[in-house]
Amino acid sequence: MSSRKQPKGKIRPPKKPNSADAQFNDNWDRLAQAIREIHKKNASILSFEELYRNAYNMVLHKNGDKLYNGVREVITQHLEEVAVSQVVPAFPLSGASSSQTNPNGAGGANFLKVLKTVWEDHTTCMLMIRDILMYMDRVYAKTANVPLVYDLGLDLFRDTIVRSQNYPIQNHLLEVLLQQIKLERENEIIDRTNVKASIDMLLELTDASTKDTVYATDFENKFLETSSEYYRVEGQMLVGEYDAPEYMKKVDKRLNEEEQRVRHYLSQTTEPKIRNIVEEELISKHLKTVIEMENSGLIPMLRNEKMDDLGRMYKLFGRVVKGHDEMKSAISDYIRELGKAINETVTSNTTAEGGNAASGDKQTGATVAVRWVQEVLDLKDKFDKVQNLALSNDKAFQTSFNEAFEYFINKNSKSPEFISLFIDDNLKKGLKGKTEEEVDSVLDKTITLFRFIGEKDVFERYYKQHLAKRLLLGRSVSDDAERGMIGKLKVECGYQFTTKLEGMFNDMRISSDTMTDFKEYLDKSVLEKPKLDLSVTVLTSTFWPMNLSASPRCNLPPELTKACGTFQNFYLGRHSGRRLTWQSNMGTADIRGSFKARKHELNVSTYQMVILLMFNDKQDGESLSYEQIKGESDIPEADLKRNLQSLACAKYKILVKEPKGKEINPGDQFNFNNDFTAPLQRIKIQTVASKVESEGERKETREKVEEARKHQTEAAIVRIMKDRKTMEHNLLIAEVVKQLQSRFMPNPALIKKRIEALIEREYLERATGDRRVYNYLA
Amino acid sequence: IQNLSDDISNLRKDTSNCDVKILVGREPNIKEFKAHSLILSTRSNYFKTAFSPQWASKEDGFFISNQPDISPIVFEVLLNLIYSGKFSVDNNENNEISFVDILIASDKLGFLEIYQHLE
Repeated sequence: MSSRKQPKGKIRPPKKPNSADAQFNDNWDRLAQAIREIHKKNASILSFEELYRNAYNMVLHKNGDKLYNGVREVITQHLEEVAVSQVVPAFPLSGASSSQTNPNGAGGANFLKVLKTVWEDHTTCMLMIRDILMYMDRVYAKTANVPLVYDLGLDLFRDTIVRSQNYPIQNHLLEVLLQQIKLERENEIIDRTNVKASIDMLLELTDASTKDTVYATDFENKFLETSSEYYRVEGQMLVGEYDAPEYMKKVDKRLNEEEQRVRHYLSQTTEPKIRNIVEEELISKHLKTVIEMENSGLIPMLRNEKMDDLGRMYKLFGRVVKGHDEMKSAISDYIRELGKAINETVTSNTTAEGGNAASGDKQTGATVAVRWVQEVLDLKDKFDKVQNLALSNDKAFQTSFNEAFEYFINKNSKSPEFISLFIDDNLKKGLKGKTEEEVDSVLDKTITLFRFIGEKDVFERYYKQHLAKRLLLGRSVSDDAERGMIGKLKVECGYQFTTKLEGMFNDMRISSDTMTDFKEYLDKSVLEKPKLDLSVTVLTSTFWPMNLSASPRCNLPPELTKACGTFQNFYLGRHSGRRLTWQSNMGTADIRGSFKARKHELNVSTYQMVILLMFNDKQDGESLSYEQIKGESDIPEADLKRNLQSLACAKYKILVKEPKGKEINPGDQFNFNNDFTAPLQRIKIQTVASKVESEGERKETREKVEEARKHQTEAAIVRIMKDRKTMEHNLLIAEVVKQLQSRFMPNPALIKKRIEALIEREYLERATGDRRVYNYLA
Repeated sequence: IQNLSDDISNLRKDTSNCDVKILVGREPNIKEFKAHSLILSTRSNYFKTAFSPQWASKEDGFFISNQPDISPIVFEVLLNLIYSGKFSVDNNENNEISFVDILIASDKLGFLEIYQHLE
């Protein structure tokens, strides 16, 4: 009593601690009671304005901290009760090891359901509490720097329920979540809503120290660890049990499932992480195993053109760092292997025919070349298809395939010749009944092979030879086709590459004009007309591949010699200062042969004509020996043999050879075959026009190419040095290689030799100070 | 924009569409004000919450609000301020009205913009 009265002394200011206390207590009691009612879901009896006023008054009278702490206490107490009365009883029976005793996870699901309800109740209540404590949030929480009441509620829920110190709620929760996910991975149906509710809850709660979500701190790592282990085991199991396509389908499915899972009930931030784990465990770790699976891996897929499987592998393996590299190198190796096999059939063919091939069956040689190119083209087609259908036209794969093709194509030293022969084959008249479009598309493809050739200069040389024969023997399918092909080559290699080829066409055109003029000249002239029609093609020696100095000679019949003379006078009369050399190995002649049965018109080579005319002077049955023919005609030996072979051993046997046989040998005797018959009146005696070169010829071609390379290299060196005046050795070499590599790959030793030759001829000198530097001498 | 604000302040006089009754002051000095829940909710979180389905108390289709701790004079000024954005004390014959009272009332009822403006 006394103590109470004392402050009421007169001098004291009218402090009203008791009344303030009383008001505080009153306000607080009401609020605490209201919060309890809210927790009991009795909010409808509460008045917002009244409660707001209570909280307002408390904060206004500086009791914000007391209010705040009081609220914390009431909520904590409530949550403790919830933990005991609702959450703990819902623990799955066997706790941590629930997966065995509770295989379908029903207990776990129920636990999640309870937790979901608890969480929803809590958030609903907290929203109402936030309403009535609005003023506290606005005025007190800000200045006191404490969490807003809703966030306080979240923290309390985290510490009292999710991370309860008193009950193992956290363990159960994590166990159950992981178990549910495991069940779903094993194709059980789970109630995703409950799982999602718990996950969302964890996502809304924040870890105090990391400021990250409780999902991230408590759940995610555990999830990733168990997933990693799960897929490690599964990966090992799957590679053991399934073939490659099945394996990939399973992996695809898994990736898809995990993505769906994240989308449905996990956090998006987990998506890349779980994807990485599946990719690591199911793809990266088994890359090679799957690629190399014996009857179903990458190579069998390619062999059987399993485009879907290949496409799946491309997509799947593209997810991991080394996936495409492994695929690329496996496919490239396979291409090289197939290429090697193609190359081997060629070499085995030529060696099998061995001695025969050198002089004998030329046709087979060309066939081998055509077959080689065709097989390479087929291979190219196959991998273009793979590239297109399965590999999304991936540039990196294309590059790697191209390298593989380049590798094996250049392993075959004859590839430039073969490709030229293949083109020759396609540009020749009336072959295989292909339409012009078909031929064009084949040639387009051939150009892609041409690109792979390192020695384009060698190709050019062969192409010139083959083109020359087509033009001179009139065997070209059409001018358009020929020009088309040259156009394609021009696009690839530039005009320098094709000027000579175009020059050849020009010669043909001019020659035809010349012949018209020649005929007019003959008509008008008083000279005796030749007894035969002469048709001459005048070739510019630098454009054509014939070797002038070694131009083949032979003894022509007098009428022909005379006709040639007439033409020579006519031509040189118009073009003084020119020199004409007759290429008797290139011509053809139409002659008439009288046989017992009937007369035939024979279209033969000049040489064959020379040979056949010899038999005009002979009696029936009188034979000529090989030596006689050789001596009288003066035809070079190789040509003679080939032409005799065409006359005596081929389809039309105008001559009969003794002894019989496919080969022409010294000492053979030849008779005119009077009994010759053939269904057609007009007969073309095929001389093999294009053929795989014999070893000798090949060596000769090789030498010519080497010689040409020397010149080209020197020209390049001079060009560069003229421009730069002075240059260091290695830089010069690099520049020369750069300039020449479109035609061939010059080796540094060759370049060095050429530099020395140029120094000797005083185009260049070594710098006085530095022996590695060259100066250009003007 | 001036028209808009004029139109809104005219709403204050037109009580036909009002859906809020606010009883201000204590016996015997109680005055009933009519207002629009939309306007009040927009300007104040307090009213927004008070009129939310969770908490609203309604009588004859009117939201009911009791404000015993505020004097009608003060509330009158505040309400005008809410509708018009204009602080008009001059036409009020009672000069006792204090600026501080309006400040306190706007703080209590969560008219934050007004509160910050007056402060």
